[in-house]
Amino acid sequence: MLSAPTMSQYAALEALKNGKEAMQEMVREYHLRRNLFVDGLNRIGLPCHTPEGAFYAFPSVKETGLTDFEFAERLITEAGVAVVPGNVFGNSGIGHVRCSYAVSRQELTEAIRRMDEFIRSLP
Amino acid sequence: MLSVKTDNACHSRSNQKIRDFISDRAKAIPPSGIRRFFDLAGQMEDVISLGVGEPDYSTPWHICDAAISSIEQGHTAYTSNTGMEPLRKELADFIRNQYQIEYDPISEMIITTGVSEGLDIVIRAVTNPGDEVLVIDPSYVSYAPCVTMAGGVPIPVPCTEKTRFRLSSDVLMEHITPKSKVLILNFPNNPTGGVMRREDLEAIADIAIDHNLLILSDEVYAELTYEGRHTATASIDGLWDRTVTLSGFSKAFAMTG
Repeated sequence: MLSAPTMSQYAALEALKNGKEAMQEMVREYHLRRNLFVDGLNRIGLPCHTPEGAFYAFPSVKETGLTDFEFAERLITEAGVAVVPGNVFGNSGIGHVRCSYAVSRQELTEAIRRMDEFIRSLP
Repeated sequence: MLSVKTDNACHSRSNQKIRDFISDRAKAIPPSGIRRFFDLAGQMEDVISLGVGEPDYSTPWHICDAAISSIEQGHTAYTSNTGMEPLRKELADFIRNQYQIEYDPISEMIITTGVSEGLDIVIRAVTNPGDEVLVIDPSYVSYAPCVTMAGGVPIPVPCTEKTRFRLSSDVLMEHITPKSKVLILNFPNNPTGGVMRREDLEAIADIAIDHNLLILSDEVYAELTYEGRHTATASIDGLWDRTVTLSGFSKAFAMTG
């Protein structure tokens, strides 16, 4: 690689000089979304450790009786919520799913409602 | 990416010939299961996607504008291999202020096209055939394949719920062998959201020093830390000179593309 794209470097320079405020605003919003989403997961029976960084929640789906792969596949086809099965991130991810909460609070609330309905539909 | 066309009857249009050239190392890498879910989500209507690790915000306009005006001003040629000097200087200031680590912008920093490129070139630069690279597990899907492509052996080191998704020094010790050379850290972590506190990193530091490990620390989510402040691996006593810090703009500034 000779050099990173020049226009991206100019964009990055501008981000460092004048982008901090917008960044802090986004971080505050992610924090609120995290609380909303993780509370919701725990309430509907998907135990989730409170993530202290990034924008992912990694709840356990073991109590549903499904593997993480089955859970993710059925959740998207039956309830219209896409998450990623934990096993793609390594063997220690088995039994969990990764959910990104970098979406609006409205969508997160709706996602929790759909996931709740899906879990209740399981035997 | 190669596309697979199984029903292609026309031999001159088959990509089988190119596939025959794929190296043994590349063949050894299992396909990522993550793609299948993105494809499924893309085909369906009314899906809420919590699948992709990308901010939903648009890049702030003044940042886009800086890119546009750089083109308008004709800045479309290569920069220095290590990136524009004003950017490296600004970045050195930012890192010093945010994480209390000191890097010389002239000789100790390089601008790459994202963390993935940075990670790949560092791994290739330090890995000899058979070297063991300790990779936290679960982790971002491309660490282990990068190691394999470089001829190294990825060794997964579990960071589970039991340790709040942190790397415990006891678990790390269980995976150290005389072939261990590199440790890849990623905190705040993708996919778990786990973070390492100062005391957790200090425990790891002792092991890294005792066993002469190089640490590659992917801290691309550093700004997205919700309880207290992020602790940079290189800010721990004894780790600065055995740590390569990797970070990027995409997550914190909403500029993945």
